[in-house]
Amino acid sequence: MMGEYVAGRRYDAALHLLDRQIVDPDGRLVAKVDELELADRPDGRLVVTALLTGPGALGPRVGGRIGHWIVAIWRRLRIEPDPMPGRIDVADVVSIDSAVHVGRRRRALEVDGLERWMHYNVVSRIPGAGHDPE
Amino acid sequence: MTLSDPRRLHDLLGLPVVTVDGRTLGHVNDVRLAPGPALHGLRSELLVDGLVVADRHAGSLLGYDRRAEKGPWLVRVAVRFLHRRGGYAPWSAVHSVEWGDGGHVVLAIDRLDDRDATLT
Repeated sequence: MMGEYVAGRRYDAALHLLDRQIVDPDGRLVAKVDELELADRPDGRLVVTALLTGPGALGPRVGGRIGHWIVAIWRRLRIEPDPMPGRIDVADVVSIDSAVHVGRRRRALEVDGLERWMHYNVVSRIPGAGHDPE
Repeated sequence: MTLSDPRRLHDLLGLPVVTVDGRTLGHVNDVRLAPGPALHGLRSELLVDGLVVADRHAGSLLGYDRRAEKGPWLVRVAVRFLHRRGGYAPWSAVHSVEWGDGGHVVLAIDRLDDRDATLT
């Protein structure tokens, strides 16, 4: 386990977190940090609750007509009727350096939306796709 | 602990920063985070420690505005000149936040801390 954030270290959210690569415990590339989710605590402190990934998070950040199209195309390519961006709870982050390291494996994080779309719409329709390889 | 509905970092970035009497100090250029007390075992939560405020929409400029020792010196000098009126506002100085389009951050102080904008 890589442990906690570096003690006493402070991070600037846009400079140190946005667009950084997220890496799982096996060194696999998970996604990029496209947006951060924040929430107010009852005591008035603002806290980071999650890393958001994928076009559903990036589009609103880009804004304008291009951002709108990014979100529209992403929605079209999702299976769910009301898709949400990939979300990694901040409790899964174990350290931050030039990358953001998470403690759960890529598959368990379930942020691979396009892969699932490809499986559902393309791969599963190929004849023989339901059989185990011989 | 009960939390509010989720917000996004970009709802905060770029918001005008004003004093309680309406004077504009700049815009939110970045949001500084600091680990809080350990929550789950060794892990901490990431709390918002304060706001990096710039006097223009110049973006982060690759961090040259926040690392005193970062070179090359010509770029460092130029960026620090552009951001000379920027500074740092600790979260404890935030009076209120109106989120989203047309929103703004109101500070309870009338002057930014020009030393704490630099990361240590």
